[in-house]
Amino acid sequence: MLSSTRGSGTAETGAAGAARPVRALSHAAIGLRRITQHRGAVAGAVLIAGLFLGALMAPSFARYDPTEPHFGLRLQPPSAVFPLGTDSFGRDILSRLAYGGRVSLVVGAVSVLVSFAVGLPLGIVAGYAGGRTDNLIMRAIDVWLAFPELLLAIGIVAVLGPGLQNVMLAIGISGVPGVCRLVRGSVLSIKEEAYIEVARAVGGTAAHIVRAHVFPNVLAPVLVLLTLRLGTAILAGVGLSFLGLGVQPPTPEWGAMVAEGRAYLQQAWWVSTIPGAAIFISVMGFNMLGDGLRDALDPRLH
Amino acid sequence: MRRTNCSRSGTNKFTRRDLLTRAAAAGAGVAVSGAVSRIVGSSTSAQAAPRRGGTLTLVLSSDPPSLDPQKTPAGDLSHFLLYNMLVSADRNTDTFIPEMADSWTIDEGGKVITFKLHPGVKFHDGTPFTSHAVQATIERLVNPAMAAPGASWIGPIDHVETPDDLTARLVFKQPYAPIFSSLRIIFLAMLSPDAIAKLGPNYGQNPVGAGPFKFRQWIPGDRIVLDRYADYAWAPKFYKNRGAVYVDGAVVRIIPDESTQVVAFERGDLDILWQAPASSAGRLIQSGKYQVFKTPTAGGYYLGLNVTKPIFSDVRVRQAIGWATNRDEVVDYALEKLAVPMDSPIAPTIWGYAKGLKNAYHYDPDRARRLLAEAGWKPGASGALEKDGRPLAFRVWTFALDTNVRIGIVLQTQLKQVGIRMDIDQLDAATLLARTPSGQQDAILISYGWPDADILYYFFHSSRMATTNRVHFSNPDVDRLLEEGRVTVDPTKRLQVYRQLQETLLQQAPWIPLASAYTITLAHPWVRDLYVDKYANLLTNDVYIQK
Amino acid sequence: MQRYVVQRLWHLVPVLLSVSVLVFLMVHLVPGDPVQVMLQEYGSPAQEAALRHSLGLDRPLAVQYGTFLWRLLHGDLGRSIHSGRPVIAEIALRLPYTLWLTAASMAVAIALGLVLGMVAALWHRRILDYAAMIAALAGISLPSFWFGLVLILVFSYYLRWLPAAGADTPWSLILPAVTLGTSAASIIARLSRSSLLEVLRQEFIRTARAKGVNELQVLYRHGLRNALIPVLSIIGLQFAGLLGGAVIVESVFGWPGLGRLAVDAIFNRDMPLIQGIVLIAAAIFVAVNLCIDLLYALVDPRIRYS
Repeated sequence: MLSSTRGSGTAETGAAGAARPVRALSHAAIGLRRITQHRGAVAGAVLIAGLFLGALMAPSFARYDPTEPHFGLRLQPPSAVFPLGTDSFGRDILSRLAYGGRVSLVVGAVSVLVSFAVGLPLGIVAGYAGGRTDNLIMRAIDVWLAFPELLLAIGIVAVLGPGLQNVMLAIGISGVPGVCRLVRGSVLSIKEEAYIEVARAVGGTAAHIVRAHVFPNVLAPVLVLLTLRLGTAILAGVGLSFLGLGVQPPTPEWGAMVAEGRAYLQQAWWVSTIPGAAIFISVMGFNMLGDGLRDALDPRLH
Repeated sequence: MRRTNCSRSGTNKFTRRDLLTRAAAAGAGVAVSGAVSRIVGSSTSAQAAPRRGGTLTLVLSSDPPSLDPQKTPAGDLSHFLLYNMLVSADRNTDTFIPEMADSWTIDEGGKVITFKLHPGVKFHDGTPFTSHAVQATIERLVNPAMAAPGASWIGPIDHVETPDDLTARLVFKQPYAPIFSSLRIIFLAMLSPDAIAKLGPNYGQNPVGAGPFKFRQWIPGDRIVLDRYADYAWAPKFYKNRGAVYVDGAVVRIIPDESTQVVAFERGDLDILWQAPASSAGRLIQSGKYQVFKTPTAGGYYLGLNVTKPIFSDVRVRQAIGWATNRDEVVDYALEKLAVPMDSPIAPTIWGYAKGLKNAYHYDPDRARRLLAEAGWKPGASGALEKDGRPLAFRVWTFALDTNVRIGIVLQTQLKQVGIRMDIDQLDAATLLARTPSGQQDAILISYGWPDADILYYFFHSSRMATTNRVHFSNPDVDRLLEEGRVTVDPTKRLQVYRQLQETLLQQAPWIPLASAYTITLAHPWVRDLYVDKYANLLTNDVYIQK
Repeated sequence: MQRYVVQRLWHLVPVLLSVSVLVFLMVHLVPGDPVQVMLQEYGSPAQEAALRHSLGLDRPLAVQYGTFLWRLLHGDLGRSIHSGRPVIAEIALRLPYTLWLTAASMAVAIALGLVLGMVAALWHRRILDYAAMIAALAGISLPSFWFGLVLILVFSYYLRWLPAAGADTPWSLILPAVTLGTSAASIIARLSRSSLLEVLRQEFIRTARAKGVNELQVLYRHGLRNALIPVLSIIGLQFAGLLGGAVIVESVFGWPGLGRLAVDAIFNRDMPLIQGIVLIAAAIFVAVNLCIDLLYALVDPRIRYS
């Protein structure tokens, strides 16, 4: 699929390598300390923070309207007037990068939200209920996975119209199987824990047990997966832009900028490479943070 | 998309050049502007004798759906190498000249055309070309079961008579003036009746024609391999070499990505880069390393306004857009100066183009603002003009192709200056084709290509509103002129009809003509004696490779 | 074990059925009509009707789907609307290229990934560790269409070592495989790094080290085996990416694989072809995952299927 193995880590493996959840909420403080001690996680967090800040403060350091062309100044190299140069329409790349960051981040965030909104409950139900329900859900997930992501994306975009929201919807929906599988895997291992048995023996209802015990312990791997998926989602958006299904021009978006600039790679490499670097740094940041979280929260390593 | 254009998004099949099929000018002595410019690169001036050998490597962005010319919406390189037609166009004078037919006469006011066929012509499978082949080809084309996209171009044909082996008589139900352009179109390539009978639906994968190259192999998605047809001996007379080609064969590579095509060409993997992408063409031309052929396109880009939409129902708004558009900027910035502005819905190289049209638009934003004010639009809060609380804003549909998007962005800026807000929606071809008949769109930004002004019938006649009349335009004067143009056989009178038509269409402004891009063909210096005619056909019979 | 296999194969049927129904519905609900796409704008209504009729597109949806199923049971996937070739032929022409590309990119991914992972594990928490991980991350963070073009420019244009595009020589496989493989390489690198680290920490490693056994040998005998498990699952996922992920690489390198075919089929609304590709890809995906799960059992004796 466009994004299944890109931008994320081992979280999709399911059978092995799934992080074992932290035992109880009181360990959260310990977890947090481990996270801050982990170099990779901190580095990732710093990058992400920088990204968010840049996006938030775009209006302050973007000197130009990102969609405003300067036809006489096309494909300018970085200079005092245009710190990162101009693209093939004479638009300031720095401004487009800044505003494009907003778009890319929103695409990433919302699509991940969609994936989790559907995948998390599905995974918990499948994992906890087991038996027929589990089977049914997993078969549906298999179908979901086997269904070409692209067809889904085109279908949604064609029916609902092109544009940002539908891109996010399409990416979000195709991320559901991965989330569901991982969550289910975690729930399966939590289910075997002694305290669950105790809770059941004491007479807790399934809903209560899920809420009080399963959910909090699933949180850690979910958090890890969330950060990793943010990277994947951004890259999926980039891929869709390449195929012309992403945001509509002249809205700046990093993937569209890279795609547009490719034709000029030999004469004005910065047009394509700078947004590519931005994508690289962001996805890397998300991945480092996610890896760091996993390392920090995995009791097996400590 | 398309991409009907094709490109870097690489996903759409239909190139605007796909809509472009080559044709001859009708009648004699039609002066057509747009000479072929040929800049030879660093090849030596000494005229070496042509030598045999080598393979000509060309490139396309996608496979043709079929190598059966009757089963494809548009012809491309591969078809033209495999097939020949009854007539051709002289590359210098543009008049009709014989190809597989030696001569022809027109009788009964244009209802009967009798062709005398060239003797000794053989198809690639060895069978002779006779009037029976002409009959079989045309009957197959118009057979409804065939569903050939090009069937309508043969016009109201009634039947084909074959008085003897070398005489074919086409009988029409009524005179059809565009036939003179149509006969050059790939849909009417002559097919071998034997092969048709033997191969049936597999003809498209095992084509048999009578062109200078014959089919060897097709690896879909990778390449089409053609061999030299040794028995070829009927090339049109403007060639020095009227027999078999000098090269041993031709390979048409399929490379969807434009940037990759350019690198492959620069590397020498491709001998000829046909339809070089505008973004790289400038750089390649300036390098001075290659032969450059700049040919105008018989077609162009336009902004089609859906006249049934409330904001476009007032003709003044449409005209204002015409005045607000700076075509020179479109040419310079969207098309990298490799285009000419279009002042009429018909591009300058299309038969029927009228020069010096009185209603033509030029860049005059003040006039645009005045017209809009007259139409009742006043400055609003958001910067766009407003009327009755609604902003002067619309969405334009276009293909997800580089050039279309670039033109859109340039237009967006220009319209903003007069207070019109235009938003761009990129759609894939199938969606756009499906949705425009119902009139959902505000406007479309696409291109077209055709050698004859009759094409306007499809775009503006009221009978075509459910299909090709995407602007949903209906005007009795225009209808009348379109119909008249079809049956007026005398070229001078026909030109007058079309002049009047163009004036009316400009005044009514359902289309805002934008620009007609050049087709840039580049070749390495070792490709000798290549010519590219004004329709961007590669004329390969004299070509030889000198490395 | 046998029962497990049979059960899994049995599950193939409802999965494929559901997928095909979904594809069918989706293509029909999405705007766009293959007849229009084929005739473009110039067909007459009579022609459109004739074509639609000959393709069976004027019959009710349920009938069309039923006909499709019936033909499928007889091994007939129909003909592509766009090209007229039998769907099986279309797929067969491209499947080998896709398989070669997938295999080659997996090879690149495993080789590169394992090397990076080992380097990172052996020099844990030192510069090489971070460098290796950043290199690995680069693989999945760079847009493939950009990376591919850069590779073409460097290796094909400037260095002239490799062909730019196409699939005529075995050398043509290298650049696309590298482009496609680097993303999986990164995942394998990180996976193998963490599994190897885990192994290195264990008691018997200390013992072995104390005894003076070469660390590399230890790693090889114990670490690699554990690392194999997640690697296997990545292979499974990669096959799922047969269509989607390869599209971009196939476009950039002009590689005639299934991905490109699928995208074009979607844009042409070529229903029979879309169905054929999706079904075959889904079947391959499920089959491969089954093999992977069976391989798990072989590699890890703790895993048993009942």
